[in-house]
Amino acid sequence: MPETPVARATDQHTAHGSDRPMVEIAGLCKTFGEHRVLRGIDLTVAPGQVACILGPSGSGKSTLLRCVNQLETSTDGAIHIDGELVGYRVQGGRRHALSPRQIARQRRSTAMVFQRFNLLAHQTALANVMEAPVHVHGVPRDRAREEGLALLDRVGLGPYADHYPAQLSGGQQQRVAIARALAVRPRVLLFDEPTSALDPELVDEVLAVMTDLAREGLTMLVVTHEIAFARDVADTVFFMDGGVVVESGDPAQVLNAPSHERTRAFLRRVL
Amino acid sequence: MASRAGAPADTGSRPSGLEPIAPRVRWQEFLYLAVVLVLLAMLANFVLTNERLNLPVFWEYLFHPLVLDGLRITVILTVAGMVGGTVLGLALTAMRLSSSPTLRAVSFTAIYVSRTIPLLVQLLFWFFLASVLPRISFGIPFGPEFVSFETNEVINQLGAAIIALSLFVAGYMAEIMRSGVMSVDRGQVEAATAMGMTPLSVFRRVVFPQAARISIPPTMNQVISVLKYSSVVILIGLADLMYSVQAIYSRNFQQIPLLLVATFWYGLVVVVLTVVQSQLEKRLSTGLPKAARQRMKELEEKTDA
Repeated sequence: MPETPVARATDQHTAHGSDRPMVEIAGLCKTFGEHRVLRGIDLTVAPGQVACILGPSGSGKSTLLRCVNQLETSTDGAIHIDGELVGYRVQGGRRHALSPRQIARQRRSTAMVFQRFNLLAHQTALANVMEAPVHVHGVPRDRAREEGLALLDRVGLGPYADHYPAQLSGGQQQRVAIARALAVRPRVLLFDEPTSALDPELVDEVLAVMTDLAREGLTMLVVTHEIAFARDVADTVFFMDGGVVVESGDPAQVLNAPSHERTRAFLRRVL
Repeated sequence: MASRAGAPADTGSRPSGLEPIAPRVRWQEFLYLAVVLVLLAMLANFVLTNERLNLPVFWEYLFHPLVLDGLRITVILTVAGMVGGTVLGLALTAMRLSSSPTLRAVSFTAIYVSRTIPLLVQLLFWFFLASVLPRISFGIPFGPEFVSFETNEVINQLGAAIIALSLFVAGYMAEIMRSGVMSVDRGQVEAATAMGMTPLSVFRRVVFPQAARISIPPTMNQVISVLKYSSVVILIGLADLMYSVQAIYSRNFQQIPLLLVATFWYGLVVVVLTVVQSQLEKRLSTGLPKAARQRMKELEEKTDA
């Protein structure tokens, strides 16, 4: 197999070596006006691990994910990605917010797959995949093109490189979005309910791609309603409700023998 | 019908073998057409047999040097007013959408002023500016001056007209561009932001290409408006197209034929602009569902061949 960006990203993880968590969230709080969406979240993901965040709508799952790549600014608490404090620099015993440019630079260590795909509508599938490598990371066009085509092949969309998003089905668009996320070789891949906007028969093609990525050792933080995916693929499951992590641990334990009544009630409804 | 005729009907396109569907005849269409044809005949009769209309005068002045000079001024005013207005409008849009409350307030006020003062008032204001501000000087506010000019030297008739049109257009263009920017899908902006693009790159790579496409039709409306509104400059004696035909008919009293001359040229410019608009829209429509369908068709034809 030729050396694809995915393969290299995997090498990077296995070479990581140390025990340092890839994502470390401590005491994270977020309020929107009066509404307290996150009330002190603690969560760690080790390198190469897959963490699934489950929970009812409005429990703060998506907000948590959006704090990790700074689409939202947390009100309190701290996030470290691969040991680097997200959003601030500490100086003179105080935290100073980073400038938009510095935040943009920090975001390069993560990539996000959105519920509604969010492909750039005026660009082809291939151009979408090439966008970040060429215009953010300064990868030469030819190389980005070659790698972009390899990634599209990887998600089974090689023949659709020249199609615009409007010409693709939801499942195809989401697979392009995953290829786009992989193109920057992120240290952490964030998935925000990647299958919730898809027709039932298109869900599996996206989950299959995500399962492959998990097997290859990418660090993934996945907000999802797909209990079966969490059970089969996740290393750790976090169950959130009302802005806190109610229960976490091994998927078999949390999903098959939940210790918390809230988790039991949720699982009864979705299973 | 087909089944009663007994003959084996051609069921090639109707595997069911049921009666064919008769096309619907819209009898009222003939009535509409007849009315329109009668009206057109009356108009032709009026134009061709009415000696007072004096059509030869129309042909005589259509390419008259005075008329063509006036047309040149009208086009210059339209282009300069649109360019000036668009540049100012872009600045106002950027300020309006910025995170700074001060800049937002400045932009809001400027847009309000630009759209509130009638074009005619603005034109006369800039033309008569010298009466309240005889000299324009550049320097440190409340401090020393570096250069200074006679106001009337800097702002002549053409200058006053271009300033007035630019300021008049700026408010409208700012709102056109703001609506274009706001029409861009927030999700795409977030996706680009999440990639690690700086806000400026997000604007350049994602927002602008899509906002520009949305803004073309209203912008073209604006160009056509400015083309026609520019005729107010006859009030400060600037010789545009309208001024020229008026100057001619005030001498020969052939008002209608000369107004038709002006109408012809305004109409021709609008036709050119309309062609430009449709070309621009085609160019910028990549990824639109309609363009996508078109492209799909091309791909299919390619694979068939």
